[in-house]
Amino acid sequence: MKGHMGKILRVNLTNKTVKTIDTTQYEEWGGGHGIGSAIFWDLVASQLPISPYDPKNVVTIMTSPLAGTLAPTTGRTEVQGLGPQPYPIEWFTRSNFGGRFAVMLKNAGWDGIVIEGKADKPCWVNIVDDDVDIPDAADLWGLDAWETQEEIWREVSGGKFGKWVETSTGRYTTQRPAVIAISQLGEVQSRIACLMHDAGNGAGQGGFGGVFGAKNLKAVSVIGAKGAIEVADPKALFETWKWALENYRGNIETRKPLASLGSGELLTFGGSPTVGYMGLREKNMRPSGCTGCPKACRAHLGSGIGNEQQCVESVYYGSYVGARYGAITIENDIAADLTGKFAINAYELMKIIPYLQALNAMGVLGKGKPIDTDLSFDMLGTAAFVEELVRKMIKGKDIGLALREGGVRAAKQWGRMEADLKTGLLPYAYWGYPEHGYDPRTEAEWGYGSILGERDINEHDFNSFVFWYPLSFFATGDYPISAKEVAQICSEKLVPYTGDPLMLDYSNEGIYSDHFVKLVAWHRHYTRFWKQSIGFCDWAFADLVNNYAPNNRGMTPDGEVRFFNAVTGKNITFAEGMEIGRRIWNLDNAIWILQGRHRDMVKYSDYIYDVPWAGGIGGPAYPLPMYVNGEWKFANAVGRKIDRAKFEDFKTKFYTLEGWNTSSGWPTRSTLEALNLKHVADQLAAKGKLG
Amino acid sequence: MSEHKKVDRRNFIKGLGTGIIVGAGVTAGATMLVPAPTQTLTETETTSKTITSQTTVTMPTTTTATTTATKTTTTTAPLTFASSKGYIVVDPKKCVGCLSCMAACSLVHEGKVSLSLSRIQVLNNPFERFPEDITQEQCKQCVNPPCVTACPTGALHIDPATGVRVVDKEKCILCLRCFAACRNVPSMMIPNAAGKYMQKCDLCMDTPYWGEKGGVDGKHACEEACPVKAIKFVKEVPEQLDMSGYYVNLRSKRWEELGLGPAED
Repeated sequence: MKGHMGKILRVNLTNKTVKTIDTTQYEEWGGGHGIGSAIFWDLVASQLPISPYDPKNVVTIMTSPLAGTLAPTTGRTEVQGLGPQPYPIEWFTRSNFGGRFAVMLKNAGWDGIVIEGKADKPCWVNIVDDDVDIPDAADLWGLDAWETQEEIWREVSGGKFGKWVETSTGRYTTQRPAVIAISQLGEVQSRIACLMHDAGNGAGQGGFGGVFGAKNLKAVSVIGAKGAIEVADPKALFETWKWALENYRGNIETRKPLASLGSGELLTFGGSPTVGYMGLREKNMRPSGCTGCPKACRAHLGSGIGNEQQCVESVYYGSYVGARYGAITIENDIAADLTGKFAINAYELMKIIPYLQALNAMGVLGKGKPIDTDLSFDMLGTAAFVEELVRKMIKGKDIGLALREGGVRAAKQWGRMEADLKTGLLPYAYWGYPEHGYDPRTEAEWGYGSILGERDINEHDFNSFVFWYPLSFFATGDYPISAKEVAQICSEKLVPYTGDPLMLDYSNEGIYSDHFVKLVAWHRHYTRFWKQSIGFCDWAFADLVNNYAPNNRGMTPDGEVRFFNAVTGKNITFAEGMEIGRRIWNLDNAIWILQGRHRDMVKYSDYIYDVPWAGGIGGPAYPLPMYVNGEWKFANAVGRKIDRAKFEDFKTKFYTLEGWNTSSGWPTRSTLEALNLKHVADQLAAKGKLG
Repeated sequence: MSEHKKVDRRNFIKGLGTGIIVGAGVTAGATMLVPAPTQTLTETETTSKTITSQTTVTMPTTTTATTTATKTTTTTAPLTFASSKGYIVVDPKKCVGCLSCMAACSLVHEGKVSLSLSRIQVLNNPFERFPEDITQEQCKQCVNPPCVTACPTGALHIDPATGVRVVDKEKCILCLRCFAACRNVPSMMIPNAAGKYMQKCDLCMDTPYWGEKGGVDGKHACEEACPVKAIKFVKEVPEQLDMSGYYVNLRSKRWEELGLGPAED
């Protein structure tokens, strides 16, 4: 298939050998996540369950056939494998990052990397075009993720930046090597350690930093110039790029939106540059885009502090800085940079810090308290406080030893987990992951996707216009686009479930309805293929409601298909892509089942059922589109909690729609065979786990 | 899945290539990539900004080169050069570093996408402060083109109709003299190793994989692809002193109002 480079690198760290996998063997899965899951199945499934720290755990690092080709936002990298962060079972999971890595990997001639085994001592992987080396990392071990990258740049390129350098294959490049690295936190196998690329592109969820640490793998570097990405229809690709930018973004300096989406526009394809950067703005700065992305969500600052830090990294500490200094100061951005340097999961910090503060205020945690720590709460609001906390984790000293296991496992060690999950003092809603802010009690599709999957989904496909947009206008109630139109636009675009606007009904009854079941299924299948396999970025796609687009209608489903077919030469429909997404979703579920998944364990933390939602990321209101008494409106979901029985009924309906056994939540043979997954059905049957 | 090979750490450090590439910078056990040929950086432009698009300058030069092969070629560069009828100018303070211009360039010229084949080059340093964090460089279509004078075969020449400095790849012997002669850093002479010839910005005169007409009276892929309009085609000869005319301010007041960066330099 055009767009693919034709080979995947397979690195065995145990015996220091490398092999190649022919990409065509896995082409039917599209790319990215689909190929990663299929390879993981082939290499690991028969050995499950195993620990993520087991050398037999395989980590896949995959690109999209569209990456690097002028298909917007697709220059992303998908990371998969068994992750140590999920609780209580360390699920097969995923994370995804932007930056330069995917495109550089393809420019070196590779579609992805498969890492297996465990090195006997610290090492790193160095890829220069076709050539792969596994050097000793003794001189890198102990460095943070930024220091590691810069050291590797110097070693690989000799510090010659700004000029052309020649690779071993006689090709030339001006680019720096693209590196993913762990910090000292990954070295100590923390469950909340990330993989970090450049300043702020992190594969943050899942704990893959700890997996790298367990494998004695400090970094993976790639630079290449040999790989030229074949494009099936270059003219159509360029034409589609122009079509997408002109019709769905416009000229950001002269454009006028059709209607205001307020904060909601930021997460659409039409959203303004630097939307992701929420730190201390400077006059001297610029938007910074991942390779191939016209949105440029990140920022590079005149101070250089806060470069590429966005969303949670740039806001997780803001309230503490604001409380201490009366305003956001540079301390906020220094704290943001610490998440990059130490490659630590910023979502965990976002929940751990207030949890510690609460326990301290309760007299439970502090100097000489039951949970004894010399962490200085007087320093709260300074970046030094965060650095002290992270360094305690790295050293395994004080409360750091417990906390590097993540918030839930730390609470468990302190004997508080069950009680604090019941009250919500510990706001970890699903599988031991911090609740994202888009609470299952309010924004139901986010919660369902997370609990039916294996992690906080972090998928904003609906979030921008079902929550952020109405929140911007909730105070006045004067909405530029009505709830009815939002539902109507989606009903036109949610192939293959078109024609059902009630899929967008977030009312108290609507979120348990057959309609909402379809919304959740659409979301699971769409993201598995079009985003996590084909690479369209979460902050731009799905492009459903877009106020810079004709009639407020974004480019989904047409855009994804046009780009895919222009690059690959295939002629698939959007629905066919969705069907591949459903196939991948079934394969992922089969892996989870081999790890022990059963419907009985698919439950939120108790507070989601027992404590009414009383405020959160948007303050005291959580407006959503609701169809009530025959009318569409944006209404506040405050006070809502999830009903246990209704959620169980929702699961039954979801499993039915998926063609799964409703007692176990396991796929049936007929469902799997219809998806050409007979080998998966056979494996599940052999383990007695076929639905 | 096929066996690839047993890994040896340094087995891929390349043996040096063509004869004029020397081994400077290669330190055993430390450097993985070989610096490209040293560029000549001593020449400076002396023409002024009053030059018009039809202005010519005189530069009598005779160059003789011996390639690494057995072939020896002697050619005499023209005494005068017609100026190009068009130029690409950029705003490095506006560039967002997405490299879409690079993808577009190789896509329309080669039908495939490679950062290394792009005639415009953007370099990112994610740890650096703005504005030193991004380098955005393009061929200057020099009024006094050292690449043309350095070429021993006449492959690099002035297109008579447009004045654009272009490569006849059939005549190119990949001696890399033009690469070294280019004053730009990085050099704007692009080695096409697979095709075994040099290539450079032709202002999209030869873009067989594009549905648009390029050239000095047409469109330009990098400019068309740039999502923030940090690249522009102009017909006037840019200010030549220190090449400053090639780096322009393409930001509007709205750019600053949106909080994206300074409107003024």
